[in-house]
Amino acid sequence: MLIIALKRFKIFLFNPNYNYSTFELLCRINLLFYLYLTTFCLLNKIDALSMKKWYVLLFFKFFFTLSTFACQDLPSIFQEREYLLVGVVKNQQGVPLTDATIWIEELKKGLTTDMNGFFSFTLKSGKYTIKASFIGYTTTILEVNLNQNTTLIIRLEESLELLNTVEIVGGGADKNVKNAELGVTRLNAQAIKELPTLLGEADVIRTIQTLPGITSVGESATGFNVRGGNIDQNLLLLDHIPIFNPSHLIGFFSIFNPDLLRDITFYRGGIPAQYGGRASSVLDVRLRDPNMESNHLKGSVGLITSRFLVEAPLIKNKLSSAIGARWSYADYLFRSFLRPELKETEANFYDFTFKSIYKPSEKDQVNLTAFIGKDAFRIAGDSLSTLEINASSTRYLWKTQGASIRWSHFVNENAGFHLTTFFSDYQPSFDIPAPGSEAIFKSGISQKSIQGEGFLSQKAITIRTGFQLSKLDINPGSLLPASQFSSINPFFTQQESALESAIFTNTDWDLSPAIRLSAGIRFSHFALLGPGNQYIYANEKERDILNLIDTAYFSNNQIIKQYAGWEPRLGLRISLNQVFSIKAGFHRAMQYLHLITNSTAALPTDRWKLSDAYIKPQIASQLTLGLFANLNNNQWETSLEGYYKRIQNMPDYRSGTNLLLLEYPETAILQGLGRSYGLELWVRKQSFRWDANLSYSLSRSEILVHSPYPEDRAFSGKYYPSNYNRPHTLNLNVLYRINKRIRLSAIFTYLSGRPATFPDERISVNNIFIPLYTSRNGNTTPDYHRLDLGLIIDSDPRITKKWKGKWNFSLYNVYARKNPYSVFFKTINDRPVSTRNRSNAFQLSVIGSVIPSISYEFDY
Amino acid sequence: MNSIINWTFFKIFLPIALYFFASACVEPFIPELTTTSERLTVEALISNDPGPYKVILSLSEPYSSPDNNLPIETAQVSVKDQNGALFSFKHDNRGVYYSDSASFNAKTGHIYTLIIRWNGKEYQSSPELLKEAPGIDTAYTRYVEKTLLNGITKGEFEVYLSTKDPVGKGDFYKWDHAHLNKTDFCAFTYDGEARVRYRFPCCSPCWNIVKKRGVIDISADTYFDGNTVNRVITSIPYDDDTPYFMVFDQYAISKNTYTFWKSVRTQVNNTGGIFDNPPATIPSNIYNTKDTSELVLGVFSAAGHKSRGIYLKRNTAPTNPYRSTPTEYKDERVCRPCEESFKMTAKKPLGWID
Repeated sequence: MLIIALKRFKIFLFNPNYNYSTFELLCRINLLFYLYLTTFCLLNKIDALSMKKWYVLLFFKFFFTLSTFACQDLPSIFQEREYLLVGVVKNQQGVPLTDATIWIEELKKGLTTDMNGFFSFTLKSGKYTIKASFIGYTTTILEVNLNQNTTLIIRLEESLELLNTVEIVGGGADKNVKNAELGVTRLNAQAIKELPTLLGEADVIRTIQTLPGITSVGESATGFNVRGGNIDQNLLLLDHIPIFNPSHLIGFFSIFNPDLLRDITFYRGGIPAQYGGRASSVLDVRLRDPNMESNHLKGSVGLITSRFLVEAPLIKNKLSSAIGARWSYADYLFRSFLRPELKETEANFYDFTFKSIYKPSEKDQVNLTAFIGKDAFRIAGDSLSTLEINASSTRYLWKTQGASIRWSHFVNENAGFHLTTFFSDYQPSFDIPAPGSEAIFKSGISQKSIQGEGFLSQKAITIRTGFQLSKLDINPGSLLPASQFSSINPFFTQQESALESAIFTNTDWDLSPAIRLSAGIRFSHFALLGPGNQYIYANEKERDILNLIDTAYFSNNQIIKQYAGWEPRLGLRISLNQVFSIKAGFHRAMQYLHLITNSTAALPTDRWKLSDAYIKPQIASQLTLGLFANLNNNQWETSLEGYYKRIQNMPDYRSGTNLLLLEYPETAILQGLGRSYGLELWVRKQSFRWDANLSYSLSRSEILVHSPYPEDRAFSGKYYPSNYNRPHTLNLNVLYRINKRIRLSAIFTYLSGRPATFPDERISVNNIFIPLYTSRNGNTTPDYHRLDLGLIIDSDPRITKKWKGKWNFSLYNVYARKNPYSVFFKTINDRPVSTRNRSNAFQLSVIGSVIPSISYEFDY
Repeated sequence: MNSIINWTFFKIFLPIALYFFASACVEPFIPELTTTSERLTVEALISNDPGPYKVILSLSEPYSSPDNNLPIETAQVSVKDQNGALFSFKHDNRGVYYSDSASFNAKTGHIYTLIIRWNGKEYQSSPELLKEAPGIDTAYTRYVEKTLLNGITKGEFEVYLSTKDPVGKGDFYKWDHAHLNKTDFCAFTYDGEARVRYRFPCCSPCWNIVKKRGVIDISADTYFDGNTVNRVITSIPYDDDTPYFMVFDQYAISKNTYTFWKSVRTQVNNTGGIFDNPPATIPSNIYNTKDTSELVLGVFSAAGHKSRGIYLKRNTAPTNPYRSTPTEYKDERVCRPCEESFKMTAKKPLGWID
């Protein structure tokens, strides 16, 4: 195989039967330089390079990369007469469809459209049967007689009444066995909305949690865990903008407005080189283009949330915008129905999402995306004990916002580039209304970035290459007095900022009809910048304030510490026949930004931390092997994937330390080795009326930490299961179409229990019973299982009214199982004699009964 | 982020769930617990108060055991000061060891180390500095009304302590408080058959001690260094408008002691919840001199102590006090002695005015 690849590459680079022009030769020399630099970067230890050298290298590499794109003559090296077949796939409203599948029957070859709906083939002259398909649309078949360069415009019709499927793997029916992707899932907005909902709101994160390999610590906990990774190892992108906390109402909902969604792509293995900065997964959420041809109104009214969307083409077929708003009114529940002491309770959120698209010419497109989301909640009568301030009621606030501008230019059908600039900002805070100690805690993280990406497709090769440059700024937390009588002194932790840069190339190459290779490489560089102090601890002693011997001060923009590394990404597909294929993949990803949270589930106010001299970047390496089969004329799609993943420098924490407002975080953070491995099975059956998905995974995830601190002896030096290690997870989704209007859906979820630590002994000091823990995560909570049902009633498709309404009914937790959220031990120390005190174990269920919900969606 | 969050979750999800006829619920859970070996537990406090000082030694018990923690009665206990002088403790009963008050009175500014020999092994504490405790400047009350779960509103007074924190970070505090009232009756009995309660008058003046149990009230001056701190210490019921006598104890504890109690508070209040820190072994400042990997439990603290008894006003409230219905007793003639215990004392409290 390697020999075939090398031979092909040689011909690609220099064909002895061909007379090259000077320009063409220059292009080839340029390509060689590009490859040389890539190898140079690969082989050299970049840590040893200075910042200046690194950026010179980066500049040259980028220069050569760009020059490669200037060489647009490459098709001419092929001597046979060939023609271009280019086209665009659109829906009836004229919105281009991304990731639609174009399949050429005669060649058994296909590809997916790009983000503008474009596709292109270079083909020998002849007759071809072209099949265009997309989730939720009827497949169109065209006959093309190719004897000159040809352009096609394919309009797909929405198949609302026929194919409202719970589409788990998008694209063509046989994409499953045809592409080189492993551990990649695409879902369109339709698919997310068809699943049964909790409290009437379709949710992206909730849907992600039904996929194989995904676990979470509990019902409606913030975030999710992918193949043994922490929640901060997931890169969440909303139109290229990274989101630091997607949750509303601490995890019941997420920030993604379902009305504006186009699709989501979720990579838990085989992450392409253009994505980086997080170690475990990428959730790429794309908003759809606003309607270019007519005004549109959409919305939904539910029990505790409502949403509204307006779309307007400002200049027909040139400029169009959409704005979506969403808000919750959970407060009224507390105010009107419940106990008086809960009246102070506050639980609110709202968000706005804006998207605008401008097409100045056929070859250019500018996208603007902006969003803002705000959450507030206050609970009567709690206190912030860890801060040593007595408080009666704390109010939490968090705000997430971002905006991006993306310019896409297409040089021709085969080449183009995207330039993106964005900012993303997350600001959590809470106030402490303790009389005499009133204070407010504030923190924040922001990222500003510029990214460029070019692509070039040749006969069987598609190359993507680009750069990313980001500035990260973190305020780890500050405490400010909130009244003039407050005894609190203003308290600040050291601000952190860093420059993170990366360059990448990714190549998809069809070596033969049976073999497809997807190879990419990414170099990333991270520089922690001053101003700031670096604390120096005595040699060979544990990092503790007692061993602090010196402080090094770094001035503004001086490099405090830098890291760099290369991240290879590889995917290979070998088709055994039309039915079976084997895929293998490897990826390595580096992460310089960490969410420091010492609780089982993260809080919105948890601290973000950049890598520094002590906190090393997390590095995940994952090896995946999969067997894919489509049986019975693509009616059955199946896959079996196995993976092994290793995460270096996985953070853990020194026992009993409080991380909030910690001045010396390195004295509390430990780093260890994470490993996880598992098998994931996925089966899908489709028919006219039925649509069913089954996913099952068997996995294990563990952490090994060597801690120098004696209080960590309970877990130091041995592997212990991670908080989200759930060996068995099973999800079954079924959709049944009763008729053209009514659909029934069901989800069954089973998760084995979550690791927990139970006490072994108890001691008595000052007549207080104290539980004693001598291990970590050695016990498990009971299993979790749940059945949800959904019923969707569409408006009659035969009536062509402009107003379209849709009812959505759901039952969550149908058989009312009291699923454990946590198990906890409570010692009641109110007796003067310790033996008469009781210490008991309790199980908390967040949702202990069936929850019905109803929502009405409209479209005008 | 500990106790708050547990409550946060109870409170935020419970109502949402309740509204939808569902119920977030807390149910007893029967875990399978393993039993392990018994470990040495130490409880020792030395202060600038005159002796005797007390050291209590016991063994850990399996978590679900119904038995008392067994006392250790055969150990040799002593305290060493910074000059190497040894002060030995004598076993009294049930694992309680007392120092000799004639020969040992701890002083502020001195450093003390606890030494225990037991079972052929030697245990030692880290050296602990006895720091001077800042005094309690004032104590005052503020009237608040609280609505109980059954909808009844009851008034209470929040008690604030005011202390000037010394300049310079690294001051750690522990507070204790007790309500004392003079009592005429020293013993109570109950005849279950006749359903009659009897009470016996005291032979000498006697005071009841009312304490809130299981409260761990500690603080570090990280965020209020050098300021005058007004801290809510407890609340007193508004069941009468007479002054309420309280004794406040303020200890200047060491960082080790603070870390121990802080860790205990975390473990006792909220371990196992989803927003809690993972449970951890409680750090101790006592270790086996030969084998530092042996887990020893408990704490030896040397702490400066200031105490103050104060009458708190209860006639500042805008409404009338609620009065609880008194229990009916049949009075006996025979007097009973006022026995020293956790709920009674014959010593006149500091600051008590008859």
